[in-house]
Amino acid sequence: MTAIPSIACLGVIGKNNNPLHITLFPSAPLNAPLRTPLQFSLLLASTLDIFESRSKSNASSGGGLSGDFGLLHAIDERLAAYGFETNTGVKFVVVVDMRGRIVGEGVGTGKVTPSVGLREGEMKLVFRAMQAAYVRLLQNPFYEPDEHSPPTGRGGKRITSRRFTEDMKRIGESWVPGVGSS
Amino acid sequence: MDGYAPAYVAHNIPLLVVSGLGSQPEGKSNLPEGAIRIASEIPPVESEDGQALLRHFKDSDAGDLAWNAREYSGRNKFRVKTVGRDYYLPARYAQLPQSALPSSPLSKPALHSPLSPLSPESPLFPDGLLDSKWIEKHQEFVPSAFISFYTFTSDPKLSTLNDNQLKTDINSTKSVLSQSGYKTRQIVALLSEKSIVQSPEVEERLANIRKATGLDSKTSLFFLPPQSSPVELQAFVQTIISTIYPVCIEYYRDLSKHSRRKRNRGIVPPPTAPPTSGTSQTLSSPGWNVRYDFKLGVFAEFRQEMDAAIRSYESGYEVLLGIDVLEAIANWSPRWNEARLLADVFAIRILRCLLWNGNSTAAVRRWQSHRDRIRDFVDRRGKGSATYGWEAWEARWATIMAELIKKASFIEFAGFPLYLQAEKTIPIGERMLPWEYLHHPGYWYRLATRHLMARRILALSIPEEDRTPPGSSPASAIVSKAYTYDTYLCPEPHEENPLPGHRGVDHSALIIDSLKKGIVEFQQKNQSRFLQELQLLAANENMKREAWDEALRILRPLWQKMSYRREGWWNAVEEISWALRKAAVQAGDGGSIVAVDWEMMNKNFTHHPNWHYDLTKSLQGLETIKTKPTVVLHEKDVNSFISTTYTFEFSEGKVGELCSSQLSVKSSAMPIAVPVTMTEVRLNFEGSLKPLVLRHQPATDERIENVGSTSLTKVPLSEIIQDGKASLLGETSLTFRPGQTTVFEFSTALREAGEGTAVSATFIMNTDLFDLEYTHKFEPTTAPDVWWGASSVKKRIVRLNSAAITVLPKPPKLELRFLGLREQYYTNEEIILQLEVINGEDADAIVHLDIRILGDGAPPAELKVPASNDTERENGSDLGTSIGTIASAGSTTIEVSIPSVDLPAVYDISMKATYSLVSDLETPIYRSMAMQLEVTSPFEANYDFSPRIHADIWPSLFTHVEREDVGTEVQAHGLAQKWCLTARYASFAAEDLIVEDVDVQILGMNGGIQSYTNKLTTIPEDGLKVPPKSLEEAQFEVFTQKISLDDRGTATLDVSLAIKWRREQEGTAVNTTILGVPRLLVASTEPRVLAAVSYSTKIPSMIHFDVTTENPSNHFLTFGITMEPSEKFAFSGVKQSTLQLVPLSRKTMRFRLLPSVRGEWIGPVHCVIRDRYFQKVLKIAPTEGMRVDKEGILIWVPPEDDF
Repeated sequence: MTAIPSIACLGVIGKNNNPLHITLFPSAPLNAPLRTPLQFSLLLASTLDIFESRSKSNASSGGGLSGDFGLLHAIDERLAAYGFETNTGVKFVVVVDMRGRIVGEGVGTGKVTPSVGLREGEMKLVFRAMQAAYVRLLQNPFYEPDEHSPPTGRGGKRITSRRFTEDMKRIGESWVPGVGSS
Repeated sequence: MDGYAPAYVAHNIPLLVVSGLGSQPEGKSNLPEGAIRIASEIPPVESEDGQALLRHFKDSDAGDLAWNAREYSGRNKFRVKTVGRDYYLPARYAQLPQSALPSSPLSKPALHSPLSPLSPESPLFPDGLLDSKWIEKHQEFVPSAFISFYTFTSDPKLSTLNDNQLKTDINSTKSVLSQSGYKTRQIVALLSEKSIVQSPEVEERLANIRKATGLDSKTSLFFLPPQSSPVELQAFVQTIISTIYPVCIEYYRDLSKHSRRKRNRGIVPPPTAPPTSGTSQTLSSPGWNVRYDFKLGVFAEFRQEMDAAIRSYESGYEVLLGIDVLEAIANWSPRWNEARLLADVFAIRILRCLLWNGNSTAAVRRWQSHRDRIRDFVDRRGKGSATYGWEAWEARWATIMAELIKKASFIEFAGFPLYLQAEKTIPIGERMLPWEYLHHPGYWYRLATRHLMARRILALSIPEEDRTPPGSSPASAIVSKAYTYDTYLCPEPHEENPLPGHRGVDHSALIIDSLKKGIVEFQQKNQSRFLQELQLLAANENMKREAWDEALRILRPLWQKMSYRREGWWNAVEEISWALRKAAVQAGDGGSIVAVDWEMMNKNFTHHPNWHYDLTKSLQGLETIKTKPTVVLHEKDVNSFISTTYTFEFSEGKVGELCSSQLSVKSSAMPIAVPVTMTEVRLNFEGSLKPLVLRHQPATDERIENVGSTSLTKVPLSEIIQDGKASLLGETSLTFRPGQTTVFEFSTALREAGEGTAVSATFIMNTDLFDLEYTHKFEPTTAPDVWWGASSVKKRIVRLNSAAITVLPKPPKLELRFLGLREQYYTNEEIILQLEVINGEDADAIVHLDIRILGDGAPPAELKVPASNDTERENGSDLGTSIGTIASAGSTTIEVSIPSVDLPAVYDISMKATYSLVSDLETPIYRSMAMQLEVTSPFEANYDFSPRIHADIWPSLFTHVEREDVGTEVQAHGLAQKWCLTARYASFAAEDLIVEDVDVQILGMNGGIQSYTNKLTTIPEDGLKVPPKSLEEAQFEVFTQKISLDDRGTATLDVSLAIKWRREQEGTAVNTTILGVPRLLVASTEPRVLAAVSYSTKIPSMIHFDVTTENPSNHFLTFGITMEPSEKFAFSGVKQSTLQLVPLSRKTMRFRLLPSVRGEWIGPVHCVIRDRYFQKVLKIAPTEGMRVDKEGILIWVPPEDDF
C-alpha cells in the first residue's frame, strides 16, 4: 500500500491577484480536505508573492516565456504548490498533497509507505487542461472578463460558471502522478 | 538547538591557546580535580605591540563563522583562547575512587579518562555512551597548540639573564605538557623590545635559545623584529596561524589514529572498578564502537574533513540505532533518553556536514529519515508518536533544521530563491518530493509552529488526574503517568498543561516565538502575503494568552494594509477583521471596532446570523472604551458597503447658467442590516465649484420607506459659509437602506469658468458613542455612469469622467460687423472699411478695439473713431483704439482706411474687441473677428508696336544745314521715325469700371533719341465704361528722332500705360493704374521696307500701294524688286526692277492696284525686295490699313459704297 500524490486544491487567480475560482479535493485517509477553505485561500494567496518575484526576475532575465512556473514552494512535507501564468496574467495554482491518495493492497489497514515524488513538469498536463477550460469559459459571450478583473486593479468577481466548476473538479480528480511525463 | 549540550551541536575547530599577551583573570574554581597547571615566572607581555597582537588573535577567532566551507577557507581557522601566563589542562586520568583504593599493590587497577564509562567517578559509569564534556574537553580545554609570548629584551646587560630565564621557562612548560599526556604543540613567540637593533648578536641569542629548548625554528619559534608596523603585526599573527595550522591538523589526526586503533582492537577494556550500584551491566562492544565512531567524526570535524566525518557519524548512527545498542536499553532507563539524545546529536552533526558540503537535498532526506526512524523506534519501543512529547520533539527537530540552514548561510538564499535546486549528485529526472528541495528556514519554522500547535492540542487533552503535581498525587498515578507520557526533552504532564494556579508551559509563547523567527525569514524574502498569514497566527496566539494589546498591535496594521482586501480574498479579510474586532473589544480600541463593523456590513462577507449589523450598536455596553473614538476611513482602506458616484448631466456648462448634477449612493449592505443614517455628507470639488453639504433631516412622510431599489430626491440648496468657505447646503434624509440606491439631484449655478471635478464625498456619522467619517473618492469606473431620471428611468452617460464638468466663460454678446463691404478691392485705390461695433449685452460696455493687418508688406492703416475725431496711426499694422462706452443695444462705426497698394496681395485683418460691462468691470470679455482682404489689379494690358512712315524728308548727306543754337535745348538732327503703339487693356475687375483717360508716359529713352507721343484714341468726356472681362484698345503715335545723324546705334524707349479709372458709383475718387510696357526698340541701322496703302480720290476703287525702302546705313545698297500679279487685282508699276539706294536715303515705289473684289482683304501681295549683295529678302512691314498673314501683306478693299 502506497500513498501517492493527489491534487488537494485547484486555484484560478485573476490578473488583479483576485481569486477567481477555488476547488478543494479530499485527501486520504480521512477523505476530507486537508485544510480548511480559509487555510487553502491563504495558501493560494501566499503563492502570489512567488509569482510576483519570479515574473520580476523573469522579466529581467528574459526567461519564463512558457508561463509554467513549476514548483512555487512546498508548504510542508505534504503540500506543495505549482504555478502557471497565462500571458494575460491569469494564474493557475495546483496544490498537490504528496500523500493524498492511497493505492495498492489492503486500503485502510496497515502502514502507509512513504509517498513517491514528482518529476519536473508533471503538472504540465493539469495546467494545459485548466487553460483549456479557462479558454472555453472566455469563449462564452456572457462571460465578461473585465468584471472579473476590472482594469481599476482592485478585486473582481468570482467565476460562477457551473461548467467551469465541473471541469476543475474533473481535472483535479482525474490527475494521477506519472502520466504524460515519463 | 537548545536542549542539547552546546558542545554536542557546535562545529569543531582546532583550539589554540595564546598565553602571555596581557594578564587574564584566571578562575580556578570550576576546574576539574587534578587539573594540570602550566605556570610561568616571567611576567606577561604588556607592550603596545602585545595588545595589538592580542587583538589580532581575538579577531581571527573562527568560533562565530557560518558553517560552510566557504567561510572556513579564509584566514580564520582557529578557536582562539587567550590566557595570561597560567593555564590549566584537565586531568588526563581519573583518580581512583576512595572506596576502591587498591587492596593489593599487585593488582593495580588501570586508570582511565575521568570521562570514560570505565571510571567510576564518571557520570557514564558503567554503561553510558558519551558525555558532552568529552567534546568540551577538546574544544575548550586541551589546545592543539599552546603559544607563549615572551619579551625579548634589548638591554645588553640583561640579555644573558633574560635569555636564561626564557630557556628555563620554556623548558618547564615543555615538561609540564609532556607530563600531562596530551600531545599539545608548544609554540614560542618572542617580541623584541623597541630599541633593539637587528644584529648578528640577536641571531646568535635566538640560536642559543633554540638549541637550549629544542624548538623547531620554522614551526615552533617565532621572532617579531622590533618597530613593526601595524600591518606587520597582523602579518605576524597570520604567519603564525598559517604555519602552525598544518601542525595542529596533524595533532587531531593523531587523536583520530588513536581512536581508530582502539576501535579496531575490538576489546572492551575493563573498568577501573566493577560497578557496584544499579545494574552491573557495562557498556557493550557495539556501544564502544559508537563511542569511537563519534570520536572519529568529531576529530574529522576538527580537521574540517566533512566527508570523513559523515562516514564516521553514519557508521556510529547505524550501530547506535541497531539492535545491539538502543534496542538493548530498557525504555524506563535514563540511558534510553541519553541514547536517543545521542542519536539526535549524530543526526544533527550529519546534517551539518551535509549542508557544509552543499548537499541540500541529501540533508532534507537525512532529516526525514532520522525523524522516521525515531518515530518508528518510539512507536515500537517507546510511548508512541501520538503524545505531546513526540510533537514537541518534531517541533524541535524542525527548528533544529531551520537553525542549521541559517547557520550554514547558503549563498543562494541571499538572493531570490525560496528553495535550493537539487544538488548535482541527484540524477536529473528523479522523482523528488517537493519538500526535498531545501526551503529557506522560514518554512522550517512554520513547520515547527504546526507541530507546536499539535503539541498544544495533545497537551490540552491530558486528563485532569494526570495534571496534578507529583507531590499531591498518589504513587500509582505517577507510575501510570510515567508509562503514558514521553518526556524526552519536554516537561512532565503537570507542567505541560498545568492545573489552574500552577505554573507550566506557555504554549502560545512558544508558538509566537517560533512564528517570530519565521516572520523574520519571510520578511527577508519579501513574501508579504505569507507574512500576513503568520501575523494572523501570531495575533491569534496572543489573543489565546489574552495579550490583547499585543494582538492589537499586530492586527491593526495588518488590517489596514493587508493585500487580501485589495485583491478580493474576502474570507481572509473577514478572518482578520473579526480577529481585530475581538482584540479591539478587549483592548478598548473603539475606533477599530467601528471600522470593522462598518466593513463587515458589506454583503461580500459571510453572513453571521447572530450578528446585529447595526452600526449604532457597535460600542454599546463596552466598558473598556474610555474615550469617544473618531474613526476616519477611506474607500481604499476598507471594503465599504457604501459606494457612490457623482455625475454631471452635461460635460459642459457656461458661467451664469444652472447645471444639474446627481450624487448616487449605493448601499450593498447585508440585506438584514439596519439602515444607516448619516449626519452629514460633504462633497468636495476641485476647480471652480463650491463644496456642497447635505444634512440629515428625518423624512416627514413614511412613503419613502417603500420606494423600490432606487429613490431620487431633488435637493434644494442654499448658500452658507462653512469653515470660512462659501458652501452650498441642502437638507434631506440621509438614511441608506441595504441594497438601495439613493440619488440626490442638485441644481447649482456656475460662477467661474474653468474645469470642475467632484473629488470626494465624505459621509459623517456622529453618534453619542463615536464619530465616523468615511471618505469616498470619485474615480472613473468601468461601468458606464448613469443619469437617473424620475421614476427610475435612467440613461447611460458616455463620458470619460462624468464627475467632471467644463465651465465655459460667458459668451460675448458684442458684435463686430463690416458695413458696405465691397465685392472686390483693387490696387491703386484707397480702401475704406466700415466696422460696426454693436453692443448686444444687457449693460453698457466699455470697449477697446485692436486691429491687426497681416500679410506681405501690409500697409499702415488708419482708424477713425467717430466720437473722437483724432485718427489713430501707428507704425506697422497693429492698431489699437479705445472706442469708449457703447450703450446697451447701441452701436458705433469705426472707419478703417488702408492706403492704396501698388501690387495685388492678400491681407488678413484680425479684430479683437476687449470690453467689460459697466455692471461688472472686473471681468474682461473678448470678442474677436478675422477677415481676409484680397486686393487685385483692375486691368492688364498687352501691346503692339509697329513702324509707320514718317512724313518728313530725310536729311541729306549732301546738304548742309547750319545749325541754329536754340538755347540749351538739344536739337535733333538724326533720322526721324514714326511708330504706332497699340495697347489692348482688359478689365479684370468684378464690376463695371469707368475709364476716364488712357495715356502713355515716356519713362526713359536710350541711344540718343528724342521722342514724343500722341494719343490717337479718344475717350468720351464722361469716361468709357468697361465691363468686366472686356478688351479695350488705345493707339498712340510715337515719334522718335536721333539727335545725331551719324549715330547709328540702337535706341530703346521705355513707356508706361496709365489708366485713370473710377468705380461706377457717383462720387468715387479717380484712381490711376499704371501698367508697364515692355521696352520698345526703335531706330535700327538695318535697311527696312515699309508698305503703305492709300485710296485714290480720283479713280474709284483704285488703290495706291507704296513700298518705301529705307537705307539708314552708310552703304550703297542695291535691291532687286519684283511684283507678281494676282487674281484679286490688277496692278500697274514696275514688275521687276533694280533699286539702288545711296547711304541715308529712301525711295518709294508706287503700285496702283485695281482690285477685282470689294469689301474684302486682297493679297497676299507678292512684292519681293531683295538685297542684291546679301541675297536677302527684306520683309515688308505693313502700316495702317494693312495686315500681314503668313504668306504676305493683305490690303483691305472697302466695299463699293466707301469709295
